[in-house]
Amino acid sequence: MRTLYKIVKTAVFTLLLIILFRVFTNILINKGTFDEGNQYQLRMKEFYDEVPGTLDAVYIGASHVYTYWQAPIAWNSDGIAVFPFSSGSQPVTAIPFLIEEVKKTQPQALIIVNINQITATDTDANTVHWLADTIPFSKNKWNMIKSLYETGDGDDAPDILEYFFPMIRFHSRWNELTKQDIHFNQSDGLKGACYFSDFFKKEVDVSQNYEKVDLNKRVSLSQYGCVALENILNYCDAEKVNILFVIVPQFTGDERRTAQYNSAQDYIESRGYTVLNLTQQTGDLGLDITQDYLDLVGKHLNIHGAIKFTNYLADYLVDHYGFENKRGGNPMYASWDEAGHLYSEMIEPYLTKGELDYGEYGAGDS
Amino acid sequence: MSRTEIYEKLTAVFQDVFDDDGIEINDSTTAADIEDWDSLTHIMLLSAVEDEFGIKFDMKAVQGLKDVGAMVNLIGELLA
Amino acid sequence: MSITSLPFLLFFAATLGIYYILPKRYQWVGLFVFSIAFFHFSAADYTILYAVMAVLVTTLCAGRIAKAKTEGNSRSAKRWLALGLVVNLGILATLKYSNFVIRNVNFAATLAGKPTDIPQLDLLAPLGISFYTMSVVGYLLDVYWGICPAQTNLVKTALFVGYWPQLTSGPIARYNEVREQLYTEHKFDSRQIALGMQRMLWGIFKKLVISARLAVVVDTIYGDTVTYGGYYIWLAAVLFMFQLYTDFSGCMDIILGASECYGIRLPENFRTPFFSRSVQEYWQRWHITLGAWLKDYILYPVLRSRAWKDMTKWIKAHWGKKAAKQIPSILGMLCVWLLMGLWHGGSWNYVLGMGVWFWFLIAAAQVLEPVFKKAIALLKVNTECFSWHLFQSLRVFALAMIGNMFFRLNGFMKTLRVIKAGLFPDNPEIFFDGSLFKLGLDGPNFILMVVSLFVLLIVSLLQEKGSVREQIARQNLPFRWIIWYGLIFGILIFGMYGPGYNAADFIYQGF
Repeated sequence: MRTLYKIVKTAVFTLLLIILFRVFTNILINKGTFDEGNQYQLRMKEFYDEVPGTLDAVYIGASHVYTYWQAPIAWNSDGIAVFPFSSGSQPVTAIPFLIEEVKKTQPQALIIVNINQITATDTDANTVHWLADTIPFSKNKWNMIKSLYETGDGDDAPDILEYFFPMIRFHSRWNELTKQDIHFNQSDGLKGACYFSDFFKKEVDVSQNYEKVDLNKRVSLSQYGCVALENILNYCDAEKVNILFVIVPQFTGDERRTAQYNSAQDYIESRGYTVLNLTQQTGDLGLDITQDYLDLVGKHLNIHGAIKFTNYLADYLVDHYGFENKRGGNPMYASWDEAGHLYSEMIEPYLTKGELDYGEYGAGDS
Repeated sequence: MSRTEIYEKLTAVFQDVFDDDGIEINDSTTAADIEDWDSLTHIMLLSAVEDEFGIKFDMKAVQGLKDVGAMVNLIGELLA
Repeated sequence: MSITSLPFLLFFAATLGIYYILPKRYQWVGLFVFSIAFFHFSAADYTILYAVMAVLVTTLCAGRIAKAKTEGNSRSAKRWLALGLVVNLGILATLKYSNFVIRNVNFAATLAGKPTDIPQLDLLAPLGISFYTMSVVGYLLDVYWGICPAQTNLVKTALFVGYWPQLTSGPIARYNEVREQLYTEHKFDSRQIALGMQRMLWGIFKKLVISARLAVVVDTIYGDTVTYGGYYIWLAAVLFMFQLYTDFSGCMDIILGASECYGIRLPENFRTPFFSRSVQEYWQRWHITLGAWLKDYILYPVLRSRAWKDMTKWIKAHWGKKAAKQIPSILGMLCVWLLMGLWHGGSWNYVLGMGVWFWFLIAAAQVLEPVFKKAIALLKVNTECFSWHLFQSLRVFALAMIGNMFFRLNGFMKTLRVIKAGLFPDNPEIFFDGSLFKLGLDGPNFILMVVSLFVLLIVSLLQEKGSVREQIARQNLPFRWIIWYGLIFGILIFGMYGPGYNAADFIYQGF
């Protein structure tokens, strides 16, 4: 009996230890900062809160995804559930693994992959942490981290172990914890939409930076980008993924970058996949380049631009993929109704009349 | 030499080494009981005892003597 | 392999598992194999040859000494002893002190007008050689003096010499202390293992949370004593004392705790040294096994030698009884302290700072004792109260602190310069204007450092009452668990490890 008691005691101690370890890890990991120009990196985590089998599409990519696509707006206008499974500077090399993740709970969903990050090169430890820390452990996560680390992403970390035990890197954050850190497991319920101060208030005129660049050039991708793209496409071939590639109108006026996007588009299309290259279609989107961006490099849209982009892409998706309007009372989508409601209330003070006119886009404020 | 005689001589040695005429010793006295008895004076004490009784302690004894009682026993053995 | 690293913990866990699965009579063989593995993970493999040589020679000599003694052949016993000592000390001297000798020869030759420039050697020493050599020398002498029996089994001797917990930083165990534990059977005792692990936990806390944090401030200040002069110097000196203490005693906690898990109790090396009342007592509470070794194997033989006895007689005859009481022991101590200094490192810096300085303090205390006694009586000082004990402890701390400055600053003239930079300090404002938060630790970290020192103080005070682990074990379960969880997460969250922290180099590990 005494032995049994000891064994049970040890087991309970160990179990409680593991639980506390996970709690502290969640509190301590770096979630980005919430300030005028930024928002906490919660979207990877919140994807796993979605009810399995309910999403129409999952939109994978870096900040191009979440500063452009505001899911509650699409829900309000068309009743489609498209979740932004994205994180800051998400490395394109992670994409095949992320598609694998999505298919675990949302095998029915269309995969939308944003390709703008293809022009970057390997990334640092922090972005790999944003990407991976909140993904539940699985063989796929193991493979993803190993693959990323070995090919250069996040290899500034001295030991790959920190991607499985982020405590190793982030325990020193104890002296900068915020309330949000401690309440990390509470989702904001907004389906990954943006609501930081600059997003609502900042309007930058990027037309000054816009030189008369030739938007039709082609330049080959870097070695890193080529390999990443190849891996994505091979994966899609093998798994027969229903996939749409998107290139958002990142308006840096950088001819070389746009040329790389064009090359990427060519190559993807040559492999038989659809690419929605919006760099040349700001007009169709109705974007006003003097008001709709929030940074001088034209990399991210503000709320006004995001509304136009979201409306455009939502209509595109409905037209081409026939998603049904699930708004209004379906209990499986209660959280989406809630998000749509919350978000429209949130953004209302910053919009002009008629700006959020569901059914039309680009009207009103150009 | 009887135990009492050993004690008489030993007490005198202690009083001399520690410069204190009031020192009394018995079988259970240890270094903790006498203020100046530390590892340094221990050696001086043993040397003085050796001189007084005309004996020689070996290193085993030097390291191993726990209290005055043991010392007296050893002196008795060495004198026999 | 750093003993605060994950690989070490995994290594230890593995050895523990294997140890208790092995048939009990082969547990000691397991320990031997673990020790070889530990050596392999911690040092260049070829250096094990030195240790092998030591083991072979020692086994041979010990056996022959014992045999010669039983035959009454003291001449032969002496010869075999000499061989064992020469080989072991010779290896140690060659590997660790050649450069000291070479430097001094070069220097002396330059002074004499015929400069030589003998190049220094670049020799790698095996792990733990400074410690196991002491153990071995003590063992051979103990066999010679009949204090312990000789170990005839080669592998058993090897285990005594190379028992892995002792390879990093000691303690220096006597053969008698361990022979009834190393080779016997050990039953699985969950309580014992729990206690051992608790001790390891405390040691890791001391090293990663307290010592490593202190090191940041100390390194910043000593790294630039031009910018950081005046009171900064003394701040660094004080903090370094705690850094060294938590580092070394933390290491001992890990080592002794680990060994306890095997059921083998090694001797203590620390006993709350900062509560000492005198410098002499300090060295009976700091690095205890080294002090005890020097006392039993150097001081006593020296003081009991014919030469010393003759000298004492001569002094008594010429200079009186008082001198005869003081001088021989002071000279004997000089030998001990020179060796103590030399053991810490082959440079004058250590010999003078860790050796001669402490010798001087202890000798002076001895000579001036009557003067102090008179002063105390005159001033009607109460020596049985807390405030007096506190004064004594602070005094010892301050004096030992100076010695340790030589140890840390690694250069005799350099240390003198630093001390000079600290004399007549004129910047007391640093304690109030936030400067303290700019020494490599930000505000919260600096405060945590201070708080952790208070935790250390509390634990030390509790230790005066007996084993703290036992005191905790008597408490109720929730309280106990809070303490263990507190320590574990204290280490995980406040420990200085991981990217952004350099592994705090343990100071005694180069020995």
